Amino acid sequence: MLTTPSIAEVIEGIQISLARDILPEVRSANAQTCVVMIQGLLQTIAQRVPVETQLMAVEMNEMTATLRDIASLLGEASGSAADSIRSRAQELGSRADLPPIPSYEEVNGGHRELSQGIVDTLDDLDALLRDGNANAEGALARLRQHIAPRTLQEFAIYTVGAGMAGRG
Amino acid sequence: MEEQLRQFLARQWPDADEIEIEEFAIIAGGYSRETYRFNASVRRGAVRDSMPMILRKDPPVAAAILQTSREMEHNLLHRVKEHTGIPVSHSHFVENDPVTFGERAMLIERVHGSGEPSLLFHGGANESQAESVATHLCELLAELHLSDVSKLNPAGELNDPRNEGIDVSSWTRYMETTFAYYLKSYERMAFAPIPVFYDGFLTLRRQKQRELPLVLCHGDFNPSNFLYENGRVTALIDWENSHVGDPREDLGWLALMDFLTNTNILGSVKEDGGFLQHYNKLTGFNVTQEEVGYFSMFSGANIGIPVISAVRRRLSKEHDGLLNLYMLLPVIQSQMVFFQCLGYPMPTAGGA
Repeated sequence: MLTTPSIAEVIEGIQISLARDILPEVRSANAQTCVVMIQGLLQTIAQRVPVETQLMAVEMNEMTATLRDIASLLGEASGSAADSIRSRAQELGSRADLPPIPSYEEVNGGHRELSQGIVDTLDDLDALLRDGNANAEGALARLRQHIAPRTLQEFAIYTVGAGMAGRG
Repeated sequence: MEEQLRQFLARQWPDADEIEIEEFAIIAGGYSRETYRFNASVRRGAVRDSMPMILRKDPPVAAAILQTSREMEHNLLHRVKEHTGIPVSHSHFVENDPVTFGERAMLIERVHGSGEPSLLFHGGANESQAESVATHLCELLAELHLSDVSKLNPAGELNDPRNEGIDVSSWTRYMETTFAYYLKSYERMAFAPIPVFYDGFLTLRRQKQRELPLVLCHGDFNPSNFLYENGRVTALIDWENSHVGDPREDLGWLALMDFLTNTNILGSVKEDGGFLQHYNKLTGFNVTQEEVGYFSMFSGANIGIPVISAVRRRLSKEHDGLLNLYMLLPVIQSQMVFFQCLGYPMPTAGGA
């Protein structure tokens, strides 16, 4: 998939346009407040998306450990509440830890480097094809086998209804 | 802006006793230029005329999707009007001094007619006009491609309007120099690696087509660039990307944009069996569907390069306009045309 621009960059562009193109044209105080609220909500999305998966994974691992620790700290306490905590620690606290999820920057950088490798390979295959290399056609077909699904994914992500805005 | 317009027109029409700018409003939907509509109310003695006009103005350079010349467009509109039967707006004035309107601009006649192609299709209010409008559009395209290039382009300024080293001394040289331009441009436009476009550019160069005469291409012959009324096209508009090229470029671009804008120009002609057949009968070019696909990629690259370059300038924060961010959508959607033309395999269940 195309990782540039990032979600944060797109949201920043929307926020700039809301402030510069939309807000000055909005007449009612209520609608102006709505725009400001939208700005705030967009900002939370921009801040949440790059870290959400990593934070969830880290917190899941911490929660399982915490549930186990709580049960352990209670020791031999009796009663239904204590039983319930021990049961929960056994059920939820026994989940295996998730492996660390790489940061957005790390995945994005790696993805970009590999994608450039795909483009460079297209260049080399083109040279081989023009030289008449018998195997290059099959190699290009294999490369396209990789490019095809990612192109379809991008199309699905970037299609938001028929037509182009403002074009009648 | 109204006062700037009034003063400009007063300088152009010194015989006018009074000039007023009325009903001034921006026209939404122009992606490459800023366009405004207004009526110039001009009094000369006891006679008052109201002239419907459009101010067509360049955006700031960094935000411009297409870097084109208003003067070239102004001159071309005059020549098309003079040497062909193709309906176009009269171009009144061109202003190359950016001080007057903030950027270079031209003032053209506002032609009557609807600019809403979507109303022609999918149950729209003007659906009954679709066939006749699409047929007329086809005939106008054929007329343009059969027009004498030397009359429309007497000084050769449309041979290489972007100054990218395009050589129109022969069809073969035109194609070779255009492929070189596309491949050279990839590096400066790719804001991220985009394999399908690069694959397309390389494939275009490897799979050369049969030769056709070089003609004047409209250059942006898409469903949003004509006006219509009562089943007829009243004007072909937006000639800013016109250039000498292969006639199949306009057909390919129309096919691509018909797909992207969810219109159905190509499917609405019945005469001679369809748009392409009717065009072929009129021109004798015998263009095949496969060639239209090839030139969808070719013309997609032609317009895509400046558009994607503009997106890149936005992403590198040379400016902060919304349009160039929004242009990501059609840019990425247009990959599907390359996908189809290159014959990419549809993924099977379970992956490759």
